[in-house]
Amino acid sequence: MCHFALEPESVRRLMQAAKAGDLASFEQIVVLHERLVLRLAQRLLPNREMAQDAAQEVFLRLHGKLGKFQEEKDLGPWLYRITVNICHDLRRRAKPNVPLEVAPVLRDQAPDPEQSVLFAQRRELIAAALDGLTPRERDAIVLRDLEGLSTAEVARILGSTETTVRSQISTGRVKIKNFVMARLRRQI
Amino acid sequence: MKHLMKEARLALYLRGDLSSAGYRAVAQHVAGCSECKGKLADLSQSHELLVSSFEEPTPDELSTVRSAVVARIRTRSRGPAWRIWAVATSAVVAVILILANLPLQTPAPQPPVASTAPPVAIRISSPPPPMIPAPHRRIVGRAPTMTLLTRAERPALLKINTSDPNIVILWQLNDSEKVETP
Repeated sequence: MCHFALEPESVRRLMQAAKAGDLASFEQIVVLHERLVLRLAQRLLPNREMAQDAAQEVFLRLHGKLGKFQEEKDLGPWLYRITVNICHDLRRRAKPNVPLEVAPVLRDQAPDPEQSVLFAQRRELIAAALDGLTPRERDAIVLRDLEGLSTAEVARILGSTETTVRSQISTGRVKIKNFVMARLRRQI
Repeated sequence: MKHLMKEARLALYLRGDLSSAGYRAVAQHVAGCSECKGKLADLSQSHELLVSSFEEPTPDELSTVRSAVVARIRTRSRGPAWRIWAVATSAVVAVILILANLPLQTPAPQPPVASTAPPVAIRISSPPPPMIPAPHRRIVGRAPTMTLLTRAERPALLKINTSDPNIVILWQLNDSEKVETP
Protein backbone atom coordinates (compact mmCIF):
# COMPACT_ATOMS: atom_id res chain seq x y z
CA MET A 1 0.00 0.00 0.00
CA CYS A 2 2.16 2.83 -1.25
CA HIS A 3 -0.50 5.28 -0.08
CA PHE A 4 0.64 4.73 3.50
CA ALA A 5 4.36 5.14 2.88
CA LEU A 6 5.74 8.07 4.84
CA GLU A 7 9.54 8.05 4.68
CA PRO A 8 9.77 4.43 5.82
CA GLU A 9 13.30 4.63 7.20
CA SER A 10 12.60 7.59 9.46
CA VAL A 11 9.32 6.10 10.61
CA ARG A 12 11.13 2.85 11.42
CA ARG A 13 13.69 4.71 13.55
CA LEU A 14 10.96 6.65 15.31
CA MET A 15 9.03 3.45 15.98
CA GLN A 16 12.06 1.80 17.55
CA ALA A 17 12.71 4.79 19.81
CA ALA A 18 9.04 5.08 20.74
CA LYS A 19 8.89 1.38 21.59
CA ALA A 20 11.85 1.99 23.92
CA GLY A 21 9.76 4.61 25.70
CA ASP A 22 10.87 7.82 24.01
CA LEU A 23 7.81 10.09 24.13
CA ALA A 24 9.34 12.69 21.78
CA SER A 25 9.66 10.02 19.08
CA PHE A 26 6.08 8.95 19.62
CA GLU A 27 5.02 12.58 19.27
CA GLN A 28 6.81 12.66 15.90
CA ILE A 29 4.86 9.57 14.83
CA VAL A 30 1.68 11.42 15.81
CA VAL A 31 2.77 14.43 13.74
CA LEU A 32 3.29 12.19 10.69
CA HIS A 33 -0.14 10.58 10.93
CA GLU A 34 -2.40 13.08 12.70
CA ARG A 35 -3.75 14.62 9.49
CA LEU A 36 -4.76 11.24 8.10
CA VAL A 37 -6.47 10.18 11.34
CA LEU A 38 -8.26 13.44 12.12
CA ARG A 39 -9.40 13.97 8.52
CA LEU A 40 -10.87 10.47 8.35
CA ALA A 41 -12.60 10.93 11.72
CA GLN A 42 -14.06 14.27 10.58
CA ARG A 43 -15.51 12.55 7.52
CA LEU A 44 -16.99 9.69 9.48
CA LEU A 45 -18.42 11.60 12.43
CA PRO A 46 -21.12 14.26 12.60
CA ASN A 47 -19.05 16.95 14.33
CA ARG A 48 -15.48 18.03 14.85
CA GLU A 49 -15.41 17.63 18.63
CA MET A 50 -16.26 13.96 18.27
CA ALA A 51 -13.60 13.66 15.57
CA GLN A 52 -10.97 15.12 17.90
CA ASP A 53 -11.98 12.67 20.65
CA ALA A 54 -11.72 9.82 18.16
CA ALA A 55 -8.28 10.92 16.96
CA GLN A 56 -7.00 11.12 20.55
CA GLU A 57 -8.31 7.65 21.27
CA VAL A 58 -6.63 6.28 18.13
CA PHE A 59 -3.20 7.59 19.16
CA LEU A 60 -3.58 6.45 22.76
CA ARG A 61 -4.37 2.95 21.51
CA LEU A 62 -1.41 3.16 19.16
CA HIS A 63 0.84 4.04 22.08
CA GLY A 64 -0.44 1.06 24.02
CA LYS A 65 0.16 -1.32 21.10
CA LEU A 66 3.48 -0.05 19.71
CA GLY A 67 5.20 -3.28 20.66
CA LYS A 68 3.04 -5.36 18.36
CA PHE A 69 4.13 -3.58 15.17
CA GLN A 70 6.83 -5.58 13.41
CA GLU A 71 7.20 -3.17 10.51
CA GLU A 72 6.35 0.46 9.96
CA LYS A 73 4.30 -0.41 6.86
CA ASP A 74 1.74 -2.09 9.14
CA LEU A 75 1.05 1.25 10.78
CA GLY A 76 -0.98 3.01 8.05
CA PRO A 77 -3.59 0.27 7.49
CA TRP A 78 -3.87 -0.24 11.25
CA LEU A 79 -4.50 3.49 11.78
CA TYR A 80 -7.24 3.51 9.12
CA ARG A 81 -8.85 0.39 10.58
CA ILE A 82 -8.74 1.53 14.19
CA THR A 83 -10.01 5.01 13.28
CA VAL A 84 -12.99 3.49 11.47
CA ASN A 85 -13.75 1.22 14.45
CA ILE A 86 -13.44 4.00 17.03
CA CYS A 87 -15.67 6.27 14.96
CA HIS A 88 -18.28 3.49 14.84
CA ASP A 89 -18.15 3.16 18.63
CA LEU A 90 -18.49 6.92 19.11
CA ARG A 91 -21.45 7.13 16.73
CA ARG A 92 -23.17 4.27 18.53
CA ARG A 93 -22.63 5.86 21.93
CA ALA A 94 -23.63 9.35 20.77
CA LYS A 95 -27.16 10.60 21.28
CA PRO A 96 -29.40 9.66 18.36
CA ASN A 97 -29.84 13.24 17.18
CA VAL A 98 -26.35 14.65 17.32
CA PRO A 99 -26.61 17.93 15.42
CA LEU A 100 -24.67 17.94 12.20
CA GLU A 101 -22.01 20.57 12.23
CA VAL A 102 -21.96 22.74 9.18
CA ALA A 103 -18.30 23.46 8.55
CA PRO A 104 -17.86 26.15 11.22
CA VAL A 105 -14.19 26.65 10.50
CA LEU A 106 -14.57 27.45 6.87
CA ARG A 107 -17.68 29.50 7.52
CA ASP A 108 -15.77 31.70 9.95
CA GLN A 109 -12.63 32.02 7.85
CA ALA A 110 -14.00 32.38 4.35
CA PRO A 111 -13.55 35.95 3.09
CA ASP A 112 -16.75 35.87 1.06
CA PRO A 113 -19.85 35.43 3.26
CA GLU A 114 -21.97 34.33 0.30
CA GLN A 115 -19.48 31.63 -0.58
CA SER A 116 -19.32 30.43 2.99
CA VAL A 117 -23.12 30.17 3.18
CA LEU A 118 -23.15 28.18 -0.05
CA PHE A 119 -20.46 25.91 1.31
CA ALA A 120 -22.36 25.41 4.54
CA GLN A 121 -25.50 24.45 2.63
CA ARG A 122 -23.56 22.02 0.49
CA ARG A 123 -21.93 20.48 3.53
CA GLU A 124 -25.28 20.11 5.25
CA LEU A 125 -26.74 18.46 2.16
CA ILE A 126 -23.88 15.96 1.90
CA ALA A 127 -23.92 15.26 5.64
CA ALA A 128 -27.63 14.44 5.43
CA ALA A 129 -27.02 12.24 2.37
CA LEU A 130 -24.23 10.35 4.18
CA ASP A 131 -26.55 9.89 7.14
CA GLY A 132 -28.83 7.87 4.89
CA LEU A 133 -26.13 5.25 4.26
CA THR A 134 -25.49 2.16 6.34
CA PRO A 135 -22.30 2.40 8.43
CA ARG A 136 -20.46 0.04 6.06
CA GLU A 137 -21.58 1.96 2.95
CA ARG A 138 -20.42 5.16 4.57
CA ASP A 139 -17.03 3.67 5.47
CA ALA A 140 -16.55 2.39 1.93
CA ILE A 141 -17.55 5.70 0.34
CA VAL A 142 -15.36 7.77 2.66
CA LEU A 143 -12.32 5.53 2.18
CA ARG A 144 -12.72 5.15 -1.59
CA ASP A 145 -14.14 8.49 -2.74
CA LEU A 146 -12.81 10.89 -0.11
CA GLU A 147 -9.57 9.24 1.00
CA GLY A 148 -8.84 7.99 -2.52
CA LEU A 149 -7.87 4.44 -1.51
CA SER A 150 -8.21 1.59 -4.00
CA THR A 151 -11.00 -0.95 -3.67
CA ALA A 152 -8.44 -3.55 -2.57
CA GLU A 153 -7.10 -1.25 0.16
CA VAL A 154 -10.61 -0.46 1.38
CA ALA A 155 -11.44 -4.18 1.50
CA ARG A 156 -8.31 -4.88 3.53
CA ILE A 157 -9.05 -2.07 6.01
CA LEU A 158 -12.68 -3.08 6.47
CA GLY A 159 -11.83 -6.78 6.65
CA SER A 160 -14.07 -7.46 3.68
CA THR A 161 -13.86 -8.64 0.08
CA GLU A 162 -13.40 -6.42 -2.96
CA THR A 163 -16.74 -7.61 -4.34
CA THR A 164 -18.55 -6.57 -1.16
CA VAL A 165 -16.79 -3.22 -1.09
CA ARG A 166 -17.66 -2.59 -4.77
CA SER A 167 -21.29 -3.34 -3.99
CA GLN A 168 -21.23 -0.96 -0.99
CA ILE A 169 -19.60 1.77 -3.07
CA SER A 170 -22.09 1.52 -5.92
CA THR A 171 -25.11 1.42 -3.58
CA GLY A 172 -23.70 4.33 -1.58
CA ARG A 173 -23.06 6.47 -4.66
CA VAL A 174 -26.56 5.85 -6.01
CA LYS A 175 -28.16 6.67 -2.63
CA ILE A 176 -26.19 9.92 -2.36
CA LYS A 177 -27.07 10.86 -5.92
CA ASN A 178 -30.78 10.21 -5.35
CA PHE A 179 -30.82 12.21 -2.11
CA VAL A 180 -28.86 15.16 -3.50
CA MET A 181 -30.82 15.35 -6.75
CA ALA A 182 -34.17 15.11 -4.96
CA ARG A 183 -33.19 18.01 -2.68
CA LEU A 184 -31.79 20.12 -5.49
CA ARG A 185 -34.90 19.61 -7.66
CA ARG A 186 -37.14 20.53 -4.72
CA GLN A 187 -35.22 23.78 -4.31
CA ILE A 188 -35.59 24.74 -7.97
CA MET B 1 -31.38 1.59 -28.05
CA LYS B 2 -32.73 -0.90 -25.55
CA HIS B 3 -31.99 0.28 -21.99
CA LEU B 4 -30.32 -2.48 -20.00
CA MET B 5 -27.76 -0.64 -17.88
CA LYS B 6 -28.20 -0.80 -14.11
CA GLU B 7 -27.54 2.36 -12.16
CA ALA B 8 -25.17 0.54 -9.79
CA ARG B 9 -22.97 -0.30 -12.77
CA LEU B 10 -22.91 3.34 -13.81
CA ALA B 11 -21.90 4.24 -10.25
CA LEU B 12 -18.90 1.92 -10.52
CA TYR B 13 -18.06 3.20 -14.00
CA LEU B 14 -17.92 6.73 -12.61
CA ARG B 15 -14.55 6.25 -10.90
CA GLY B 16 -13.08 3.29 -12.73
CA ASP B 17 -14.20 0.55 -10.36
CA LEU B 18 -14.98 -1.88 -13.19
CA SER B 19 -12.77 -4.30 -15.05
CA SER B 20 -11.43 -2.98 -18.35
CA ALA B 21 -13.94 -5.11 -20.27
CA GLY B 22 -16.80 -3.86 -18.07
CA TYR B 23 -15.61 -0.29 -18.44
CA ARG B 24 -15.58 -0.54 -22.24
CA ALA B 25 -19.08 -2.06 -22.29
CA VAL B 26 -20.55 0.74 -20.15
CA ALA B 27 -18.76 3.44 -22.14
CA GLN B 28 -20.16 2.01 -25.33
CA HIS B 29 -23.67 1.89 -23.88
CA VAL B 30 -23.61 5.37 -22.40
CA ALA B 31 -22.45 6.81 -25.73
CA GLY B 32 -25.74 5.79 -27.29
CA CYS B 33 -28.18 6.13 -24.35
CA SER B 34 -29.31 9.58 -23.33
CA GLU B 35 -31.07 8.29 -20.18
CA CYS B 36 -27.88 6.67 -18.87
CA LYS B 37 -25.91 9.75 -19.92
CA GLY B 38 -28.24 11.82 -17.72
CA LYS B 39 -27.90 9.45 -14.78
CA LEU B 40 -24.15 9.47 -15.14
CA ALA B 41 -24.16 13.27 -15.13
CA ASP B 42 -26.21 13.26 -11.90
CA LEU B 43 -23.85 10.74 -10.30
CA SER B 44 -20.92 12.88 -11.34
CA GLN B 45 -22.51 16.04 -9.94
CA SER B 46 -23.31 14.46 -6.56
CA HIS B 47 -19.79 13.01 -6.43
CA GLU B 48 -18.26 16.45 -7.05
CA LEU B 49 -20.46 17.84 -4.28
CA LEU B 50 -19.35 15.10 -1.91
CA VAL B 51 -15.66 15.61 -2.58
CA SER B 52 -15.80 19.40 -2.29
CA SER B 53 -17.82 19.44 0.95
CA PHE B 54 -15.02 18.44 3.29
CA GLU B 55 -12.10 20.59 4.26
CA GLU B 56 -8.78 19.52 5.75
CA PRO B 57 -8.24 19.66 9.53
CA THR B 58 -6.86 23.02 10.64
CA PRO B 59 -3.40 23.34 12.27
CA ASP B 60 -5.13 24.30 15.54
CA GLU B 61 -7.19 21.13 15.54
CA LEU B 62 -4.13 18.99 14.83
CA SER B 63 -2.16 20.69 17.57
CA THR B 64 -5.01 20.24 20.08
CA VAL B 65 -5.16 16.51 19.40
CA ARG B 66 -1.39 16.11 19.64
CA SER B 67 -1.09 18.03 22.93
CA ALA B 68 -3.97 16.11 24.48
CA VAL B 69 -2.47 12.76 23.46
CA VAL B 70 0.97 13.60 24.87
CA ALA B 71 -0.53 14.96 28.10
CA ARG B 72 -2.64 11.84 28.60
CA ILE B 73 0.32 9.53 27.97
CA ARG B 74 2.39 11.47 30.52
CA THR B 75 -0.42 11.18 33.10
CA ARG B 76 -0.90 7.51 32.32
CA SER B 77 2.80 6.69 32.71
CA ARG B 78 2.84 8.34 36.15
CA GLY B 79 -0.15 6.29 37.21
CA PRO B 80 -3.16 7.52 39.15
CA ALA B 81 -2.52 9.44 42.38
CA TRP B 82 -4.27 6.85 44.57
CA ARG B 83 -1.90 4.16 43.35
CA ILE B 84 1.17 6.22 44.20
CA TRP B 85 -0.18 6.84 47.70
CA ALA B 86 -1.10 3.18 48.13
CA VAL B 87 2.40 2.03 47.15
CA ALA B 88 4.07 4.60 49.42
CA THR B 89 1.87 3.71 52.40
CA SER B 90 2.44 -0.01 51.89
CA ALA B 91 6.19 0.54 51.79
CA VAL B 92 6.16 2.53 55.04
CA VAL B 93 4.00 -0.08 56.81
CA ALA B 94 6.28 -2.87 55.60
CA VAL B 95 9.38 -1.10 56.92
CA ILE B 96 7.73 -0.51 60.32
CA LEU B 97 6.69 -4.15 60.60
CA ILE B 98 10.16 -5.38 59.68
CA LEU B 99 11.82 -3.10 62.20
CA ALA B 100 9.37 -4.06 64.97
CA ASN B 101 9.99 -7.77 64.47
CA LEU B 102 13.76 -7.77 64.17
CA PRO B 103 15.10 -10.25 66.79
CA LEU B 104 17.67 -8.94 69.19
CA GLN B 105 21.13 -10.30 68.51
CA THR B 106 21.78 -13.07 70.97
CA PRO B 107 24.92 -15.18 70.87
CA ALA B 108 24.33 -18.60 69.43
CA PRO B 109 24.72 -21.40 72.04
CA GLN B 110 28.19 -22.90 71.84
CA PRO B 111 28.62 -26.66 71.98
CA PRO B 112 30.43 -27.86 75.07
CA VAL B 113 34.14 -28.30 74.53
CA ALA B 114 36.05 -30.94 76.45
CA SER B 115 38.90 -29.37 78.33
CA THR B 116 42.23 -31.12 78.72
CA ALA B 117 43.52 -28.73 81.35
CA PRO B 118 43.28 -29.79 84.97
CA PRO B 119 40.44 -28.30 86.91
CA VAL B 120 41.24 -25.13 88.68
CA ALA B 121 39.69 -24.40 92.00
CA ILE B 122 37.82 -21.14 91.91
CA ARG B 123 37.10 -19.37 95.05
CA ILE B 124 33.91 -17.45 95.01
CA SER B 125 34.06 -14.55 97.34
CA SER B 126 30.52 -13.23 96.72
CA PRO B 127 27.41 -14.56 94.93
CA PRO B 128 26.91 -13.37 91.33
CA PRO B 129 24.33 -10.63 90.75
CA PRO B 130 20.87 -11.90 89.75
CA MET B 131 20.09 -12.00 86.00
CA ILE B 132 17.65 -9.30 85.00
CA PRO B 133 15.98 -9.99 81.66
CA ALA B 134 16.54 -7.20 79.17
CA PRO B 135 13.40 -5.36 78.19
CA HIS B 136 11.82 -6.53 74.88
CA ARG B 137 14.13 -9.47 74.81
CA ARG B 138 12.67 -12.21 72.66
CA ILE B 139 12.38 -15.69 73.97
CA VAL B 140 13.88 -17.94 71.38
CA GLY B 141 13.80 -21.64 70.95
CA ARG B 142 10.05 -22.29 70.88
CA ALA B 143 9.11 -24.26 67.77
CA PRO B 144 6.48 -22.57 65.57
CA THR B 145 3.17 -24.39 65.36
CA MET B 146 0.23 -24.11 62.97
CA THR B 147 -3.43 -24.71 63.76
CA LEU B 148 -6.28 -24.72 61.24
CA LEU B 149 -9.38 -23.00 62.57
CA THR B 150 -12.52 -23.75 60.59
CA ARG B 151 -15.58 -21.58 61.01
CA ALA B 152 -19.13 -22.18 59.82
CA GLU B 153 -19.84 -20.36 56.51
CA ARG B 154 -16.74 -18.28 56.90
CA PRO B 155 -13.25 -18.67 55.46
CA ALA B 156 -10.94 -20.90 57.47
CA LEU B 157 -8.12 -19.35 59.46
CA LEU B 158 -4.61 -20.69 59.75
CA LYS B 159 -3.16 -19.77 63.14
CA ILE B 160 0.63 -19.71 63.21
CA ASN B 161 2.33 -19.44 66.58
CA THR B 162 5.76 -18.02 65.95
CA SER B 163 8.82 -18.54 68.09
CA ASP B 164 7.88 -15.29 69.80
CA PRO B 165 4.80 -15.79 72.01
CA ASN B 166 3.92 -12.14 71.40
CA ILE B 167 3.48 -12.75 67.67
CA VAL B 168 0.68 -14.89 66.33
CA ILE B 169 -0.13 -14.84 62.62
CA LEU B 170 -3.70 -15.41 61.54
CA TRP B 171 -3.97 -16.23 57.81
CA GLN B 172 -7.42 -16.15 56.26
CA LEU B 173 -7.60 -18.83 53.57
CA ASN B 174 -9.35 -18.36 50.26
CA ASP B 175 -11.57 -21.10 48.88
CA SER B 176 -8.84 -22.05 46.42
CA GLU B 177 -6.21 -22.56 49.11
CA LYS B 178 -5.90 -25.92 50.74
CA VAL B 179 -3.98 -26.85 53.81
CA GLU B 180 -2.67 -30.31 54.18
CA THR B 181 -3.06 -31.39 57.74
CA PRO B 182 -1.16 -34.42 59.00
